[in-house]
Amino acid sequence: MEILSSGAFINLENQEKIEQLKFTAFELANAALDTTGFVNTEESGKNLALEFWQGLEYMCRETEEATIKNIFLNHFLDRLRSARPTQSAAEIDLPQKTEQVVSEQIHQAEKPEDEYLGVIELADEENPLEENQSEVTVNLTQPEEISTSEDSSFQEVEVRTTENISTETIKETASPASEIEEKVEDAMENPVETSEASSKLSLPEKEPYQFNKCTVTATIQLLPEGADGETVRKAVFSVRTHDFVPQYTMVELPGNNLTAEIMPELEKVLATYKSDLPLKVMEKLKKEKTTAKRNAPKQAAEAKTVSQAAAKQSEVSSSQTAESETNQTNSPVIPPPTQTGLQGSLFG
Amino acid sequence: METTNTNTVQSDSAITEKLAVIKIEGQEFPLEAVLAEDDKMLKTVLQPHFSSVENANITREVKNGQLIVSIVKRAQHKGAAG
Repeated sequence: MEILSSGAFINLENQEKIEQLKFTAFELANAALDTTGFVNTEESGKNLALEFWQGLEYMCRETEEATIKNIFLNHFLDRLRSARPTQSAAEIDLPQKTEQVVSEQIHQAEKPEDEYLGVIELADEENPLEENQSEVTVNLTQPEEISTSEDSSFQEVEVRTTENISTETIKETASPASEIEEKVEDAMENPVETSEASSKLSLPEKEPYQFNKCTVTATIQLLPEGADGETVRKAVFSVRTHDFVPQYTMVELPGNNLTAEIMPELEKVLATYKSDLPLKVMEKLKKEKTTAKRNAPKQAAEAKTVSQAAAKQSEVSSSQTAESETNQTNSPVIPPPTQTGLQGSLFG
Repeated sequence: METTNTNTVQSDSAITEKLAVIKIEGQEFPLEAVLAEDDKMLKTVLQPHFSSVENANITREVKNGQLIVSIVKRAQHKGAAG
Protein backbone atom coordinates (compact mmCIF):
# COMPACT_ATOMS: atom_id res chain seq x y z
CA MET A 1 0.00 0.00 0.00
CA GLU A 2 1.31 3.41 -0.94
CA ILE A 3 0.96 6.70 0.87
CA LEU A 4 -1.21 9.09 -1.07
CA SER A 5 0.84 12.04 -2.25
CA SER A 6 -0.32 15.54 -1.43
CA GLY A 7 -2.60 17.25 -3.91
CA ALA A 8 -3.85 13.92 -5.26
CA PHE A 9 -7.38 13.68 -6.61
CA ILE A 10 -9.61 11.42 -4.57
CA ASN A 11 -13.07 10.29 -5.53
CA LEU A 12 -15.32 7.89 -3.72
CA GLU A 13 -15.65 5.57 -6.72
CA ASN A 14 -11.95 4.86 -6.67
CA GLN A 15 -11.66 2.29 -3.92
CA GLU A 16 -7.92 2.08 -4.25
CA LYS A 17 -7.51 5.77 -3.56
CA ILE A 18 -9.77 5.51 -0.53
CA GLU A 19 -7.72 2.64 0.81
CA GLN A 20 -4.56 4.65 0.21
CA LEU A 21 -6.13 7.56 2.06
CA LYS A 22 -6.91 5.35 5.03
CA PHE A 23 -3.41 3.98 4.96
CA THR A 24 -1.98 7.50 4.80
CA ALA A 25 -4.03 8.57 7.80
CA PHE A 26 -2.86 5.49 9.67
CA GLU A 27 0.78 6.11 8.83
CA LEU A 28 0.58 9.79 9.74
CA ALA A 29 -0.95 8.89 13.07
CA ASN A 30 1.89 6.42 13.65
CA ALA A 31 4.42 9.10 12.82
CA ALA A 32 2.74 11.47 15.22
CA LEU A 33 2.82 8.85 17.96
CA ASP A 34 6.51 8.26 17.37
CA THR A 35 7.26 11.94 17.68
CA THR A 36 8.70 12.81 21.06
CA GLY A 37 6.67 15.31 22.99
CA PHE A 38 3.40 14.44 21.28
CA VAL A 39 0.54 14.50 23.78
CA ASN A 40 -2.01 11.91 22.75
CA THR A 41 -5.27 13.56 23.70
CA GLU A 42 -8.51 13.75 21.77
CA GLU A 43 -8.29 17.50 21.29
CA SER A 44 -4.70 17.55 20.10
CA GLY A 45 -5.40 14.59 17.85
CA LYS A 46 -8.31 16.39 16.22
CA ASN A 47 -6.28 19.53 15.68
CA LEU A 48 -3.39 17.58 14.24
CA ALA A 49 -5.66 15.63 11.93
CA LEU A 50 -7.21 18.84 10.62
CA GLU A 51 -3.78 20.36 10.12
CA PHE A 52 -2.64 17.31 8.22
CA TRP A 53 -5.77 17.41 6.08
CA GLN A 54 -5.21 21.03 5.20
CA GLY A 55 -1.54 20.47 4.51
CA LEU A 56 -2.16 17.49 2.25
CA GLU A 57 -4.37 19.56 -0.06
CA TYR A 58 -6.19 16.61 -1.53
CA MET A 59 -8.46 17.41 -4.44
CA CYS A 60 -12.02 16.17 -4.13
CA ARG A 61 -15.37 16.84 -5.68
CA GLU A 62 -17.22 19.43 -3.67
CA THR A 63 -20.00 17.01 -2.82
CA GLU A 64 -17.61 14.31 -1.70
CA GLU A 65 -15.13 16.44 0.17
CA ALA A 66 -16.88 16.18 3.51
CA THR A 67 -17.13 12.41 3.32
CA ILE A 68 -13.52 11.94 2.28
CA LYS A 69 -12.32 14.29 4.97
CA ASN A 70 -14.39 12.36 7.45
CA ILE A 71 -12.75 9.12 6.40
CA PHE A 72 -9.30 10.61 6.84
CA LEU A 73 -10.04 12.14 10.23
CA ASN A 74 -11.73 9.02 11.54
CA HIS A 75 -8.85 6.76 10.60
CA PHE A 76 -6.31 9.15 12.00
CA LEU A 77 -8.17 9.51 15.28
CA ASP A 78 -8.89 5.79 15.50
CA ARG A 79 -5.20 5.04 15.31
CA LEU A 80 -4.46 7.58 18.04
CA ARG A 81 -7.24 6.19 20.20
CA SER A 82 -6.00 2.65 19.84
CA ALA A 83 -2.56 3.77 21.00
CA ARG A 84 -4.04 5.58 24.00
CA PRO A 85 -4.21 3.70 27.31
CA THR A 86 -7.91 3.50 28.18
CA GLN A 87 -9.92 1.81 30.87
CA SER A 88 -11.90 -1.16 29.70
CA ALA A 89 -15.62 -1.26 30.27
CA ALA A 90 -15.35 -4.24 32.61
CA GLU A 91 -13.13 -2.35 35.04
CA ILE A 92 -15.62 0.42 35.58
CA ASP A 93 -18.03 -0.13 38.38
CA LEU A 94 -21.24 1.32 37.07
CA PRO A 95 -24.90 0.90 37.89
CA GLN A 96 -26.79 -1.52 35.65
CA LYS A 97 -28.35 1.13 33.46
CA THR A 98 -25.17 2.95 32.66
CA GLU A 99 -23.44 -0.35 32.03
CA GLN A 100 -25.91 -1.02 29.28
CA VAL A 101 -25.17 2.36 27.80
CA VAL A 102 -21.45 1.66 27.92
CA SER A 103 -21.83 -1.73 26.32
CA GLU A 104 -24.00 -0.25 23.60
CA GLN A 105 -21.46 2.43 22.91
CA ILE A 106 -18.62 -0.04 22.84
CA HIS A 107 -20.69 -2.18 20.53
CA GLN A 108 -21.14 0.84 18.32
CA ALA A 109 -17.43 1.47 18.38
CA GLU A 110 -16.81 -2.13 17.31
CA LYS A 111 -19.29 -1.95 14.46
CA PRO A 112 -17.67 -2.09 11.04
CA GLU A 113 -17.22 1.34 9.58
CA ASP A 114 -18.85 2.38 6.37
CA GLU A 115 -16.17 2.33 3.73
CA TYR A 116 -17.36 5.61 2.21
CA LEU A 117 -18.63 7.58 5.13
CA GLY A 118 -16.26 6.14 7.66
CA VAL A 119 -18.82 6.52 10.38
CA ILE A 120 -20.79 4.35 12.68
CA GLU A 121 -24.51 3.78 12.38
CA LEU A 122 -26.72 4.68 15.30
CA ALA A 123 -30.27 4.90 14.02
CA ASP A 124 -32.48 2.20 12.54
CA GLU A 125 -31.60 1.07 9.06
CA GLU A 126 -35.13 1.61 7.84
CA ASN A 127 -34.85 5.35 7.34
CA PRO A 128 -31.82 6.39 5.31
CA LEU A 129 -32.20 10.08 6.14
CA GLU A 130 -32.24 9.41 9.84
CA GLU A 131 -29.28 7.15 9.40
CA ASN A 132 -27.27 9.82 7.71
CA GLN A 133 -28.05 12.51 10.23
CA SER A 134 -27.37 10.26 13.12
CA GLU A 135 -24.03 9.49 11.56
CA VAL A 136 -23.20 13.14 11.66
CA THR A 137 -24.07 13.46 15.29
CA VAL A 138 -22.18 10.33 16.20
CA ASN A 139 -19.12 11.64 14.45
CA LEU A 140 -19.15 14.72 16.56
CA THR A 141 -19.74 13.04 19.87
CA GLN A 142 -18.14 9.64 19.56
CA PRO A 143 -14.57 10.64 20.35
CA GLU A 144 -15.69 12.03 23.65
CA GLU A 145 -17.59 8.89 24.45
CA ILE A 146 -14.62 6.67 23.97
CA SER A 147 -12.00 8.83 25.58
CA THR A 148 -13.92 9.63 28.73
CA SER A 149 -14.89 6.80 30.97
CA GLU A 150 -16.65 8.63 33.79
CA ASP A 151 -20.28 7.84 34.67
CA SER A 152 -21.55 11.37 34.31
CA SER A 153 -20.00 12.00 30.94
CA PHE A 154 -21.52 8.85 29.51
CA GLN A 155 -24.95 9.92 30.50
CA GLU A 156 -24.45 13.40 29.15
CA VAL A 157 -23.26 12.18 25.82
CA GLU A 158 -26.09 9.73 25.54
CA VAL A 159 -28.62 12.48 26.08
CA ARG A 160 -26.88 14.69 23.55
CA THR A 161 -26.92 12.12 20.78
CA THR A 162 -30.58 11.30 21.25
CA GLU A 163 -31.41 14.98 21.16
CA ASN A 164 -29.45 15.43 17.98
CA ILE A 165 -31.26 12.63 16.26
CA SER A 166 -34.68 13.67 17.31
CA THR A 167 -34.52 17.35 16.34
CA GLU A 168 -34.99 17.44 12.58
CA THR A 169 -35.13 13.90 11.39
CA ILE A 170 -38.47 12.98 12.86
CA LYS A 171 -40.15 16.16 11.71
CA GLU A 172 -38.98 15.93 8.13
CA THR A 173 -39.60 12.32 7.25
CA ALA A 174 -42.57 13.08 4.99
CA SER A 175 -40.76 15.58 2.77
CA PRO A 176 -40.35 15.18 -1.02
CA ALA A 177 -37.37 13.44 -2.57
CA SER A 178 -35.59 16.62 -3.67
CA GLU A 179 -35.70 17.98 -0.17
CA ILE A 180 -34.37 14.75 1.21
CA GLU A 181 -31.44 14.93 -1.17
CA GLU A 182 -30.68 18.42 -0.04
CA LYS A 183 -30.92 17.42 3.57
CA VAL A 184 -28.59 14.50 3.02
CA GLU A 185 -26.11 16.81 1.38
CA ASP A 186 -26.45 19.25 4.22
CA ALA A 187 -25.96 16.51 6.73
CA MET A 188 -22.84 15.44 4.91
CA GLU A 189 -21.49 18.94 4.95
CA ASN A 190 -22.32 19.60 8.57
CA PRO A 191 -19.44 17.78 10.28
CA VAL A 192 -16.89 19.75 8.31
CA GLU A 193 -18.47 23.06 9.10
CA THR A 194 -18.80 22.32 12.78
CA SER A 195 -15.31 20.96 13.13
CA GLU A 196 -13.59 23.77 11.23
CA ALA A 197 -15.27 27.01 12.14
CA SER A 198 -18.86 27.56 13.10
CA SER A 199 -18.54 31.28 12.56
CA LYS A 200 -18.22 30.96 8.76
CA LEU A 201 -20.59 33.13 6.81
CA SER A 202 -22.42 31.36 4.04
CA LEU A 203 -22.89 33.08 0.72
CA PRO A 204 -26.53 33.63 -0.28
CA GLU A 205 -26.16 31.82 -3.60
CA LYS A 206 -24.77 28.76 -1.83
CA GLU A 207 -27.52 28.61 0.72
CA PRO A 208 -29.95 25.73 0.48
CA TYR A 209 -33.38 26.37 -0.98
CA GLN A 210 -35.07 25.92 2.35
CA PHE A 211 -36.93 28.68 4.06
CA ASN A 212 -35.34 28.04 7.44
CA LYS A 213 -31.84 27.70 6.07
CA CYS A 214 -31.51 30.64 3.72
CA THR A 215 -31.49 34.40 3.91
CA VAL A 216 -34.99 35.76 3.58
CA THR A 217 -35.37 39.45 2.82
CA ALA A 218 -38.69 40.94 3.83
CA THR A 219 -39.48 44.56 3.16
CA ILE A 220 -42.34 46.56 4.60
CA GLN A 221 -43.37 49.75 2.88
CA LEU A 222 -45.99 51.91 4.52
CA LEU A 223 -47.70 54.04 1.92
CA PRO A 224 -48.92 57.48 2.94
CA GLU A 225 -52.35 57.92 4.43
CA GLY A 226 -55.31 58.87 2.25
CA ALA A 227 -55.89 62.53 1.53
CA ASP A 228 -59.30 62.61 3.20
CA GLY A 229 -57.91 62.22 6.70
CA GLU A 230 -58.34 58.45 6.92
CA THR A 231 -55.95 56.65 9.23
CA VAL A 232 -56.06 53.50 7.13
CA ARG A 233 -52.65 52.87 5.65
CA LYS A 234 -51.74 50.68 2.79
CA ALA A 235 -48.67 48.59 3.36
CA VAL A 236 -46.67 46.67 0.80
CA PHE A 237 -44.88 43.56 1.97
CA SER A 238 -42.28 42.02 -0.27
CA VAL A 239 -40.40 38.84 0.49
CA ARG A 240 -37.48 37.42 -1.40
CA THR A 241 -34.79 34.74 -1.15
CA HIS A 242 -31.87 33.91 -3.42
CA ASP A 243 -32.40 35.36 -6.89
CA PHE A 244 -36.10 34.63 -7.05
CA VAL A 245 -38.54 37.37 -7.88
CA PRO A 246 -39.97 39.09 -4.83
CA GLN A 247 -43.47 38.18 -3.74
CA TYR A 248 -45.52 41.34 -3.23
CA THR A 249 -48.57 41.61 -1.03
CA MET A 250 -50.54 44.77 -0.38
CA VAL A 251 -52.60 45.05 2.80
CA GLU A 252 -54.60 47.74 4.48
CA LEU A 253 -53.81 48.46 8.10
CA PRO A 254 -56.24 50.32 10.38
CA GLY A 255 -53.36 52.57 11.42
CA ASN A 256 -54.13 52.74 15.14
CA ASN A 257 -51.19 50.67 16.29
CA LEU A 258 -49.01 49.98 13.30
CA THR A 259 -46.40 47.76 14.90
CA ALA A 260 -49.03 45.46 16.34
CA GLU A 261 -50.97 45.43 13.09
CA ILE A 262 -47.93 44.68 10.97
CA MET A 263 -46.88 41.56 12.86
CA PRO A 264 -49.80 39.24 11.98
CA GLU A 265 -49.70 40.40 8.37
CA LEU A 266 -45.99 39.78 8.16
CA GLU A 267 -46.46 36.33 9.61
CA LYS A 268 -49.09 35.58 6.98
CA VAL A 269 -46.87 36.83 4.19
CA LEU A 270 -43.91 34.79 5.40
CA ALA A 271 -46.05 31.69 5.77
CA THR A 272 -47.33 32.12 2.21
CA TYR A 273 -43.81 32.57 0.92
CA LYS A 274 -42.64 29.54 2.84
CA SER A 275 -45.30 27.40 1.22
CA ASP A 276 -44.60 28.84 -2.25
CA LEU A 277 -40.83 28.49 -2.09
CA PRO A 278 -40.69 24.79 -3.12
CA LEU A 279 -42.70 25.63 -6.25
CA LYS A 280 -40.30 28.42 -7.12
CA VAL A 281 -37.37 26.07 -6.65
CA MET A 282 -38.98 23.45 -8.85
CA GLU A 283 -39.60 26.01 -11.59
CA LYS A 284 -36.05 27.23 -11.36
CA LEU A 285 -34.67 23.72 -11.62
CA LYS A 286 -36.88 23.02 -14.62
CA LYS A 287 -35.65 26.18 -16.31
CA GLU A 288 -32.05 25.28 -15.60
CA LYS A 289 -32.60 21.82 -17.05
CA THR A 290 -34.16 23.15 -20.22
CA THR A 291 -31.40 25.70 -20.70
CA ALA A 292 -28.81 22.99 -20.13
CA LYS A 293 -30.53 20.82 -22.72
CA ARG A 294 -30.61 23.70 -25.18
CA ASN A 295 -26.96 24.45 -24.64
CA ALA A 296 -25.83 20.83 -24.82
CA PRO A 297 -26.53 20.22 -28.56
CA LYS A 298 -24.96 23.57 -29.44
CA GLN A 299 -21.79 22.65 -27.60
CA ALA A 300 -21.78 19.23 -29.23
CA ALA A 301 -22.22 20.83 -32.66
CA GLU A 302 -19.41 23.28 -31.94
CA ALA A 303 -17.20 20.45 -30.81
CA LYS A 304 -18.02 18.57 -34.00
CA THR A 305 -17.21 21.52 -36.23
CA VAL A 306 -13.97 22.08 -34.36
CA SER A 307 -12.99 18.45 -34.69
CA GLN A 308 -13.94 18.44 -38.38
CA ALA A 309 -11.87 21.55 -38.96
CA ALA A 310 -8.98 19.99 -37.13
CA ALA A 311 -9.35 16.84 -39.21
CA LYS A 312 -9.41 18.89 -42.40
CA GLN A 313 -6.34 20.78 -41.33
CA SER A 314 -4.52 17.57 -40.54
CA GLU A 315 -5.57 16.17 -43.91
CA VAL A 316 -4.32 19.27 -45.68
CA SER A 317 -1.06 19.24 -43.80
CA SER A 318 -0.57 15.54 -44.46
CA SER A 319 -1.26 16.03 -48.18
CA GLN A 320 1.16 18.94 -48.23
CA THR A 321 3.85 16.88 -46.62
CA ALA A 322 3.12 14.06 -49.02
CA GLU A 323 3.36 16.43 -51.93
CA SER A 324 6.59 17.87 -50.67
CA GLU A 325 7.91 14.38 -50.22
CA THR A 326 6.87 13.44 -53.73
CA ASN A 327 8.40 16.66 -55.04
CA GLN A 328 11.59 15.85 -53.32
CA THR A 329 11.65 12.36 -54.71
CA ASN A 330 10.57 13.31 -58.23
CA SER A 331 12.75 16.31 -58.70
CA PRO A 332 15.89 15.50 -60.67
CA VAL A 333 19.09 15.78 -58.80
CA ILE A 334 20.97 18.69 -60.20
CA PRO A 335 24.67 18.53 -59.53
CA PRO A 336 26.31 21.72 -58.43
CA PRO A 337 27.98 23.47 -61.29
CA THR A 338 31.60 22.75 -61.46
CA GLN A 339 33.87 25.73 -61.46
CA THR A 340 35.24 26.32 -64.80
CA GLY A 341 38.42 28.03 -65.59
CA LEU A 342 36.58 30.80 -67.38
CA GLN A 343 34.55 31.78 -64.34
CA GLY A 344 37.53 31.72 -62.11
CA SER A 345 39.33 33.99 -64.46
CA LEU A 346 36.53 36.54 -64.33
CA PHE A 347 37.15 37.37 -60.65
CA GLY A 348 40.58 36.82 -60.27
CA MET B 1 -29.98 62.64 -11.74
CA GLU B 2 -33.18 60.76 -12.35
CA THR B 3 -34.47 60.33 -15.85
CA THR B 4 -37.28 58.08 -16.83
CA ASN B 5 -38.60 57.28 -20.21
CA THR B 6 -42.16 56.15 -19.87
CA ASN B 7 -44.41 54.84 -22.57
CA THR B 8 -47.86 54.67 -21.11
CA VAL B 9 -50.75 52.40 -21.99
CA GLN B 10 -50.58 51.55 -25.63
CA SER B 11 -53.84 49.76 -26.24
CA ASP B 12 -57.30 51.21 -25.73
CA SER B 13 -58.74 48.47 -23.55
CA ALA B 14 -59.31 49.22 -19.86
CA ILE B 15 -57.59 47.46 -16.99
CA THR B 16 -59.93 44.92 -15.51
CA GLU B 17 -57.49 42.57 -13.80
CA LYS B 18 -56.53 43.39 -10.23
CA LEU B 19 -53.00 42.17 -10.71
CA ALA B 20 -50.54 43.57 -13.20
CA VAL B 21 -47.57 41.68 -14.60
CA ILE B 22 -44.16 43.24 -14.08
CA LYS B 23 -41.40 42.24 -16.45
CA ILE B 24 -37.96 43.18 -15.20
CA GLU B 25 -34.47 41.74 -15.55
CA GLY B 26 -35.79 38.75 -17.46
CA GLN B 27 -38.26 37.86 -14.77
CA GLU B 28 -42.01 38.21 -14.42
CA PHE B 29 -44.12 38.54 -11.35
CA PRO B 30 -47.54 39.79 -10.37
CA LEU B 31 -48.10 43.08 -8.59
CA GLU B 32 -51.21 44.97 -7.58
CA ALA B 33 -52.30 47.04 -10.58
CA VAL B 34 -52.84 50.01 -8.27
CA LEU B 35 -49.13 50.01 -7.49
CA ALA B 36 -48.08 49.52 -11.10
CA GLU B 37 -50.11 52.27 -12.69
CA ASP B 38 -47.98 55.14 -11.49
CA ASP B 39 -44.27 55.42 -12.21
CA LYS B 40 -43.39 56.98 -8.91
CA MET B 41 -45.28 54.37 -6.92
CA LEU B 42 -43.87 51.56 -9.01
CA LYS B 43 -40.34 52.76 -8.45
CA THR B 44 -40.89 53.12 -4.73
CA VAL B 45 -42.21 49.60 -4.50
CA LEU B 46 -39.58 47.97 -6.69
CA GLN B 47 -36.59 49.96 -5.49
CA PRO B 48 -35.61 47.71 -2.54
CA HIS B 49 -35.21 44.67 -4.77
CA PHE B 50 -34.42 46.21 -8.16
CA SER B 51 -32.17 49.22 -7.89
CA SER B 52 -31.99 49.47 -11.68
CA VAL B 53 -35.58 50.68 -11.79
CA GLU B 54 -34.45 54.17 -10.86
CA ASN B 55 -33.20 54.86 -14.35
CA ALA B 56 -35.19 52.62 -16.58
CA ASN B 57 -37.54 52.63 -19.52
CA ILE B 58 -41.01 51.76 -18.32
CA THR B 59 -43.46 50.56 -20.91
CA ARG B 60 -47.08 49.78 -20.18
CA GLU B 61 -49.61 47.91 -22.23
CA VAL B 62 -52.94 46.27 -21.57
CA LYS B 63 -53.59 42.76 -22.83
CA ASN B 64 -56.94 41.16 -22.15
CA GLY B 65 -57.63 43.64 -19.40
CA GLN B 66 -54.33 42.98 -17.65
CA LEU B 67 -51.71 45.66 -17.27
CA ILE B 68 -48.30 44.52 -18.38
CA VAL B 69 -45.38 46.69 -17.35
CA SER B 70 -42.03 46.13 -19.00
CA ILE B 71 -39.06 47.70 -17.28
CA VAL B 72 -35.81 47.83 -19.18
CA LYS B 73 -32.65 49.07 -17.57
CA ARG B 74 -31.18 51.94 -19.48
CA ALA B 75 -27.54 51.95 -20.45
CA GLN B 76 -25.64 54.64 -18.63
CA HIS B 77 -22.31 56.31 -18.81
CA LYS B 78 -19.27 54.47 -17.69
CA GLY B 79 -18.93 54.71 -13.93
CA ALA B 80 -22.54 55.65 -13.35
CA ALA B 81 -24.12 53.84 -10.43
CA GLY B 82 -26.91 51.36 -10.98
